Amino acid sequence: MAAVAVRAAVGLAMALCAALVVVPLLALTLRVPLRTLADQLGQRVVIEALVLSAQASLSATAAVVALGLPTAYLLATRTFPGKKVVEVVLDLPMVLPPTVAGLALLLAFGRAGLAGRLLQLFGLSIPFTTLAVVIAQTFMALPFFIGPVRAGIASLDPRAQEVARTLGATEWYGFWRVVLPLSVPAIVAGTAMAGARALGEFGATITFAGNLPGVTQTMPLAVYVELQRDLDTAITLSVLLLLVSFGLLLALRMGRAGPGR
Amino acid sequence: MSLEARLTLGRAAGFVLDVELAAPAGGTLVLAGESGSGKSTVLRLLAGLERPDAGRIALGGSVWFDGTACLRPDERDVGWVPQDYALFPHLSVRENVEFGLRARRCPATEVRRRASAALERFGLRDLAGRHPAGLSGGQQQRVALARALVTEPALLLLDEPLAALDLPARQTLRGELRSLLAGFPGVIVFVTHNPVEAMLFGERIAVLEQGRVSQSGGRDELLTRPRSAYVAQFMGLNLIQGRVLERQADGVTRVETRDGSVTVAGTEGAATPELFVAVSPREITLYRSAPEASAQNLYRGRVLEMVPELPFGERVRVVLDTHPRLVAEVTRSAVEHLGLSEGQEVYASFKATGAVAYG
Repeated sequence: MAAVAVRAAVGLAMALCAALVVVPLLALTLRVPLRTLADQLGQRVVIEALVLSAQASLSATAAVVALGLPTAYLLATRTFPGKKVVEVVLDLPMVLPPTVAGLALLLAFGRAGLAGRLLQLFGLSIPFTTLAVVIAQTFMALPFFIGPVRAGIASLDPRAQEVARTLGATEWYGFWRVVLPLSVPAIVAGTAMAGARALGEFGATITFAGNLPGVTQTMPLAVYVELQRDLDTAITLSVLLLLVSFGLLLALRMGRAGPGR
Repeated sequence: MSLEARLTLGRAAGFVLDVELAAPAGGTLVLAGESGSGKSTVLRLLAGLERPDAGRIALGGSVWFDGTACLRPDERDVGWVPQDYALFPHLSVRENVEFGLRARRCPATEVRRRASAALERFGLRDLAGRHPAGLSGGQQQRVALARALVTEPALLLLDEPLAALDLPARQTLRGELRSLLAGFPGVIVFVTHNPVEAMLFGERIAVLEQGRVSQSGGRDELLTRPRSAYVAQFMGLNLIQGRVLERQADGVTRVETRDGSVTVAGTEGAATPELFVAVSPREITLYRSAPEASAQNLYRGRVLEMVPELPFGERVRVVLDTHPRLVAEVTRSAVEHLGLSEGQEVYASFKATGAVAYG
């Protein structure tokens, strides 16, 4: 009897979890204004947000890969003093409230900021530009890439790279020909996660980059603004974001189930 | 291109490796020892994957490590075949074999030509397009060897090359491996914990115990004159250590051991007071009751264990708790005839001429 009760309770918990996610998403999808969808999508605010989000999140994802891949490799293959501290610091954006991150970025790159003052000398001002959006997204997405890629590289048989070294490969050559190809699943997973995080970034962006249509108003920001102006537009934008996120996760799953796994 | 190496390495957990190795060009040095004795670490040090604390590694004229300067693995002329081979899973057999040539920036035509020759020589031509995951253990071994040898290294390091294989395959591939390695002009260091492999592959054998070479020498020397309990066990011999008690004019010598005495017909080498006595298990005869035999060495004890020897059925090793401890090897029919069983009391004897004593 007790076993049956436990099973029922566990099943109920799972059903509630699923419902908690599914019901709101269903509510959102069911409210899509199908008849006026074409008009909705044609609106300037939607198109601008869409283009800006695509540009910014793709740039941020590229930056995350460029900065994160060497970092993940070093963390997976080296030991050095203070490594634990570095790891904690790099993980921080994952748990930091995004508005706090945005404020920190503002204080760093703002006019009177630590790095901002230096940039000012070259006539550069970052806050409230598209570059600020990319920086905010990169900042927030970085741990979502470094985590899985670092774990992926660390889980490789170290002897593969060692054999490569004895065969005359420099560490650089071995990285490109052995470590990188073997880490492709982890890199794809990390890139997708980081991309999704960058695309959905809101708090740090609005704090650090502001909410200027066509310059810093990405899709999540547009959703927030339109929510107070035109609910249908907000819904359209939201569903677009939902579709992209869903597609990314689905592609990840399929890629993992496919060849090489 | 002979190998000379002196390696010292202190590990955190109190493990200290301190070995000296030498092998002539074209020779095979077998490093034998239990797991944890430091065999694989020696190979990693020779390959440059780890750095010794002190010592020297020289191959022919080139010095790879001299206590300060330490060549990187890719600067050493070395081939390393790790346990389980560690083939590149994302590359085809041909690409695995070509890897070393490409890494060394050989021209494309030369890469193809040399890889094809190696694939041919190692019987891999028909597998060239396959990936390692689909290969048998023996095929993987050949790919690993081809990959390591295609760059014609001066030093080939083989880490338990047969241990990853099933028993039947291991026996067939032993011979195959020998013929593939025959004619290799460089030095081979072959790591194994298997006495048969050590005997087959090593002209010279160094036995490693807890990070130190406990004995090294020619195959025959180790087989007949072990100098440590482990070496004796490795070679399947009884080894008794003791002091000379009495040496008669005809050479017959009584040796006092920790818990008994042994009489031998003569001793070899210098007349040192400390002696090793080696007795082949086949020299030992077992009796159920005290025999009236002429053999000078007679001991009473219980049968601790009876282990059939490979191939099963022919001979049985009988472990006794005599003083000193002895292992006898008798035929299966003798076991039946004597009605031996574990726990039983028996008499074991061997002739003074059946033992070899050396200082």
